[in-house]
Amino acid sequence: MVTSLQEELEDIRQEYATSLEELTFNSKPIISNLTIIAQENMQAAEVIARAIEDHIGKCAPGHKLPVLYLLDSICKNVGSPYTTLFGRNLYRTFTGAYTLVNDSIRKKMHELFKTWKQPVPSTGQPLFAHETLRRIESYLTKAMSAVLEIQQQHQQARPPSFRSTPPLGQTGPGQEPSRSYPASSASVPASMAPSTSAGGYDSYFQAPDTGSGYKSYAEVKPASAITKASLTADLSMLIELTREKIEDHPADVDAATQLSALTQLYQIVSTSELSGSQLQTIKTELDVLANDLGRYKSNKRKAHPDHSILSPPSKRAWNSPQLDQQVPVWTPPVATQPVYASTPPPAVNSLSIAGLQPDLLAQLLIPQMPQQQQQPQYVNNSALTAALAGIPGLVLPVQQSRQVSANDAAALLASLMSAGLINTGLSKPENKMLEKLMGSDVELSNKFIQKPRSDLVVLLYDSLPLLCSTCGRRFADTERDRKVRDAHLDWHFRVNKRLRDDSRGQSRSWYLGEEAWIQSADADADVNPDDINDGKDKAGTDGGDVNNAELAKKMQEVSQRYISTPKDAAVVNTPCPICMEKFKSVWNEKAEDWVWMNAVQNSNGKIYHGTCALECGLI
Amino acid sequence: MDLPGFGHESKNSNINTISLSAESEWRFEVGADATVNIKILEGNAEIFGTELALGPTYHFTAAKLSIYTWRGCQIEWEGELLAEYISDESAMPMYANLHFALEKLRAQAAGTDTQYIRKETGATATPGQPETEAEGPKVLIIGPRFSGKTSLAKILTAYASKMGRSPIAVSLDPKESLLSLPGTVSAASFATMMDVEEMETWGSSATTGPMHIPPKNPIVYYFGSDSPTDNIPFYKAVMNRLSLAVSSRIAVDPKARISGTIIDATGILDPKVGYDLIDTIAADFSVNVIVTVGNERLYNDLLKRYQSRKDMNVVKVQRSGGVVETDATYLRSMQQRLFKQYFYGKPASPLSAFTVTTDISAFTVYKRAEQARLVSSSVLPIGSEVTSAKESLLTKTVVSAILQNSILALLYANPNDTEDDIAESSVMGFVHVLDVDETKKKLKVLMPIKSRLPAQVYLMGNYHYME
Ligand SMILES: Nc1ncnc2c1ncn2[C@@H]1O[C@H](COP(=O)(O)OP(=O)(O)OP(=O)(O)O)[C@@H](O)[C@H]1O
Ligand SMILES: [Mg+2]
Ligand SMILES: [Zn+2]
Ligand SMILES: [Zn+2]
Repeated sequence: MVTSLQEELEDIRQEYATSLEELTFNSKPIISNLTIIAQENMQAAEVIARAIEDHIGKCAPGHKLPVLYLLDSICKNVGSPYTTLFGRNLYRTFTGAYTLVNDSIRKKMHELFKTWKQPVPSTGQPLFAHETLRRIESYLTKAMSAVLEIQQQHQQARPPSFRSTPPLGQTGPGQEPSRSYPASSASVPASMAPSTSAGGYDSYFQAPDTGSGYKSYAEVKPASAITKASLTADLSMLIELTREKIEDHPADVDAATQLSALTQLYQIVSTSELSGSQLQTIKTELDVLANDLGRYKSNKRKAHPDHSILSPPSKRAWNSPQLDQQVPVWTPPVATQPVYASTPPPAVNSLSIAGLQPDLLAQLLIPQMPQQQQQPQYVNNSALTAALAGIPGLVLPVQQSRQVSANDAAALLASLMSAGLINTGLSKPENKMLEKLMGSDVELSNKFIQKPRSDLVVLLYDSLPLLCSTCGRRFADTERDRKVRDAHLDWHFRVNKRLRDDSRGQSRSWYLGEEAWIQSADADADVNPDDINDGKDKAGTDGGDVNNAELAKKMQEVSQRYISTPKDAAVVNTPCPICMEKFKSVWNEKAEDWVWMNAVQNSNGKIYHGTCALECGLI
Repeated sequence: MDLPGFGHESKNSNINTISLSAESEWRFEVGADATVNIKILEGNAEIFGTELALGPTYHFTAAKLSIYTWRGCQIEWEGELLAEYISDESAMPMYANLHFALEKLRAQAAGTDTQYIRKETGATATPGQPETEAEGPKVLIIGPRFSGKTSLAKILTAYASKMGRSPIAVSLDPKESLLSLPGTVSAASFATMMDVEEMETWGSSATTGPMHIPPKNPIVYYFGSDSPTDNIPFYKAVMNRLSLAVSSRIAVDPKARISGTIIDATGILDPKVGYDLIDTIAADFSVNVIVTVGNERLYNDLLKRYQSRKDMNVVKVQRSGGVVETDATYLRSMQQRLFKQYFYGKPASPLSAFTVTTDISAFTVYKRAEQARLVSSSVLPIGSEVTSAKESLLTKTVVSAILQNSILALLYANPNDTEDDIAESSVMGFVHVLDVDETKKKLKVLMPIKSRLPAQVYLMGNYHYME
């Protein structure tokens, strides 16, 4: 009997689906076996991909991860057409699973997702389309910040009354939809709640060099000990809030400035060593902003008081339970806001106040204040004020009696810049100029445009005092820009030499094609910023730089090196000492084994990424 | 009486010096057959936002330009000018303010885009940090003909790249050219400065050898004639395709993303066709800033039109008094000059072009389908839009003597691609049909580069060039 192609495909699909039932734990042999079957049945790629997607969709949450690993293995080892096929529905497949699984699996999914963003050595491109990855990433970011908020929430004790108050992540119709996701009870069956939160999000929020990560933020700690971790946690919160504000008010330029300042600040805080006083400076500024935003947020909530009832307790099922345990018993009294607000809150209906959350700033600050965490129970307004006032080093906005205004964003930016905290690429006197640019009077309006502002012209000239005498290009007088200038002068030199040496006539080149043009960012610059950052001035794309090409080739070569995945559990979890990223195990056809790609081992047994080692001159 | 050496203004070889006081501009015109040498002796000077170096001599041919100085300068010039005068009523302070306002938006985006920050600082990703992408302003410049739109676009682009940005400049006006030829819509990233000697075309596209000013790489689509109204559906199709390329670039290039886009729209303002087109451009390029140049009515119309869009900012600037109105003859001769420059370069930097002979049968030429029967959809009652869904945008052309002297766009498309795919293909370059021999079935073609005639699709427009 002749089977039609259709039937044959259906057979393969069913067979594959049956094999998938066995994949209930992270089993190397099963995954590699299924990967090989997928590779050998390329003609059935479409149905195999569908079988896997279906299975991820309907299998028990605890079994989803190994199937995702299978998807990952097929894409990484077989590649096309599976990458395309899975890419189509990847957002749905991934996020659909994400909503249903527990914290520790989510953490694994984050790690898995991270590897997808890495360029595949053979193509230099990430595994899936940029747009798909971006969507998933933004989903994960939102999910995480919502979790953070809910965790904040948990540090408020609201045992009997919390039904009547919405978690921060909980929103009603008409509000930003993404924020409602983590709190959505539909997607988190109570039975799915993890019994312990082994890791959970804690490690995700970890600042690079603190051991305790997000937990340390929640931990009891003197208020004066502002740490990197606590600041980054504050910052992610503020960033998320600001972004929400911008979504509500797209034209709010100050909010945009603020978001910009906060994001830069995040980068700075998390990557540089700051002194205690610097940390304190930032903290003080942040408190003012938090106050402002907190009021914005609580006012917004006042506009939707009804939604507060929509929050059943099960919604927090998958939050870290240990946070629940240490929640102090503290019910916010009515109208807490004035404690922090320097201006009286707008008059509101007292009915809606009853169900209100405390001011967001309170949520931000209280976890860091031992007094608030340990003792205060049913404090009233004045007691709280007194308690806060007693904390050394904590500057309350109310004490500064500073008018919280739209200018705060600019002020924040300005003070951070003058403190030398924000890297504007300009030296200090030029920072002053940038402050001017970021000042609130500079705006896209007819009024601003019409009135001559010769003072700003400094930005076009004096701020860029180094001049190329050949072409007139200007550079700032900073270490980085001086390097750019040197590379630029080198470039002139090479061009001149080639023009002298090369007597062949020139012709017009063809234009780039779409794909090449889209990817031509580096070809458009005469100096590549990566080179500057490396401190290797090997710039120049004036028709193909030999060094660059050679290096790229070597990189490519090194990225193909691999070692067998170590068996020792401790070694498996040790990250690359250079970039601190963990290695990812993939099935290697040739080696018939699980391997770490782009990995090299030195004589002491230390394992590095090949590309990292090459970059640092170790190989 | 001509007494040699007695300081008589001989137009030819006398060296003239000009002192420009702060915030004034020297406007001058150079004929197509003349060359003028200009040197900045002192102070600072810029042409449409691009600064001139002190010392080197710049050569200008066929140009209507202005040298502006913020703080005064000394200029030395030599050669024959068609006209020149100094004006202290420059629009530059206004245009610079516009730039500063845009620059503030870029700085905000730069501080928010984590990918950009990482790339610029060389920092590595921080675990747990929320990833954010931010986009710089996307500016659409609109105004009547001869309002100085293109010059303003150049100024904004030049100032942005001077301050370290890499804006993407987009030209949607097929009659002129951004790094390409008339008949196109195109875009390019300006990570480096513009070549002031080639201001007319926003600098020069790449050649096979090195250049003193880094060449720019445009992405080019072929429309085929001067005015979008010649064929609105086709124009919208190529424009849409261009916008896709630009948005893809923005997605992968953080620096371009935070730097934003500057779009020089075309000068059609007929409210019937023009406003519909403006809507399309605004949507395709996600425009969030509209700058109207020198027309109150236009400004007010657009202000009203977009008042419900919270994220859209409509502002106005005045027309510069220096803008020169030219006529159709001038446009024709400019276009002829651009065709010539594409193949042969300029006298100071000549390029070689090559002739190839090929069989007519090996040559696939399309023309855009003329939609003469189609009234522009916007003049029809709402709902009765005549969709040309069935009708292809292109028709295949029989290779005949009609092609003689044509400029053809060589597309990144193969003869067996579908017509839809062909219509969406970008331009690889241009060829010039020198001769069609119908009896011998041979074709003689001028190519910019030494190679066989690519067996791809050629698109014919309304342009001819006579050597
Ligand atoms: N300030 C100036 N001084 C001298 N010439 C100028 C000045 N501004 C513009 N021009 C010249 O005037 C001509 C027309 O200006 P431009 O191309 O900017 O106007 P446009 O609005 O883009 O015109 P069109 O509607 O034809 O596209 C150009 O040749 C330009 O170089
Ligand atoms: Mg123009
Ligand atoms: Zn230079
Ligand atoms: Zn590494």
